[in-house]
Amino acid sequence: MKRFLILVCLVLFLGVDVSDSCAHGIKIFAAAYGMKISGYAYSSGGARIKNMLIKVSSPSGKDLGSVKTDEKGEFVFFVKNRCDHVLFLDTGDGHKAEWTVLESELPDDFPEIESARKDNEDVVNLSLNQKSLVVEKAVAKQLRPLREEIINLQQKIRMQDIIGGIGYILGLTGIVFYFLAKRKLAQR
Amino acid sequence: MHISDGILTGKVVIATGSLSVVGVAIGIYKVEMEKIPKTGILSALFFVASLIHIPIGISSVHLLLNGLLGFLLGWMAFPALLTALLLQAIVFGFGGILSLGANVLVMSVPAVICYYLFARAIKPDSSLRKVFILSFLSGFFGVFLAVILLAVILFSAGKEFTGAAIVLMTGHIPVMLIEGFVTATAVGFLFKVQPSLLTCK
Repeated sequence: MKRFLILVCLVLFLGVDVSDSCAHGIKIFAAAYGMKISGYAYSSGGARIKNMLIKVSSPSGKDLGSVKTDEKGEFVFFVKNRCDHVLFLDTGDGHKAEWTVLESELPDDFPEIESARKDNEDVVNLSLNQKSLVVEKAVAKQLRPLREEIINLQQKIRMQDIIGGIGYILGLTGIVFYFLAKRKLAQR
Repeated sequence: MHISDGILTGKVVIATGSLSVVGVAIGIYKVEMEKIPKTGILSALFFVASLIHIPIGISSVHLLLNGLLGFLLGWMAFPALLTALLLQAIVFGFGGILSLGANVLVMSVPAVICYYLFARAIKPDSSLRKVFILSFLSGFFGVFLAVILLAVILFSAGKEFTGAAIVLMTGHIPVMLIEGFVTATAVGFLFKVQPSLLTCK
């Protein structure tokens, strides 16, 4: 009985971690912010993945470059091409993560970005294109926490998932019983 | 510990898939009426145990309990683990459908090895200490062999072997010890209160 109690305590002690675990494996979050794609890589428990190489390519597999996560697991990638950007991370131990930044997230007028960056202090004197770029950046910044929250909610393992899974297994056990019982009855 | 979809090559997916089908078939062939509730409960336990995460290194590790399953179920560990892993892939998104065969092998082969190495050595008149030590070893080597098998499968899919193996092995040393204790405690408890639940005849 003592041993059993120790086991229960051990499981409860380890179980503290259950609450903040989202899913097993690794994930990337990224969003376009002007001509930059910024984001971070993290593992199931929420721990950031440091110093790992993220490969960036187009959906058709064309190499667009790569970027390394920093000490906080964050990265910034400078966009050069107008296309969907697929970010791919493989930690080498059987885990991988993928995230796509859609072309529609990137600013409409690409070549003019540099000039917009240089002289956007005086918003009044900006051309229409440059103004829309400033607005786009501001909106992207405001939307980011919302998007992060949605991703977190989607990945959260809820109690009903766990109970549902256990229920499935018990149900399958019942089905196996049914077939075995049928076989036994047929033998009689 | 779960291999994600898209990591393995087509050949490896087919090879691991067919091998795991063979294992599951042997498990189903050996099914006994009395073992079904035990199989179901342990399958559910495995399904839930993977939610207990311990962040280590660049990744995080979780309890596996495949040593415990092998110790108590023998070949029946294959169908039990297939069910649990399939549900983990569908419900939680752990691992993947294409890599399911590989994941079943990584978990079940060590389970069956532990069954033959350790569980079969236990007799109804064994001392509690012997049961404790053997089940500890079962929990320990369940994880140890799973790590080696995982590294081998990743290697066959074109990944570097030593690097991945070292990262996985160092990350899992605490898990091996914890699993050893969890398995030993669970089996020791069962041996005391319900010896018939152990595979010994």
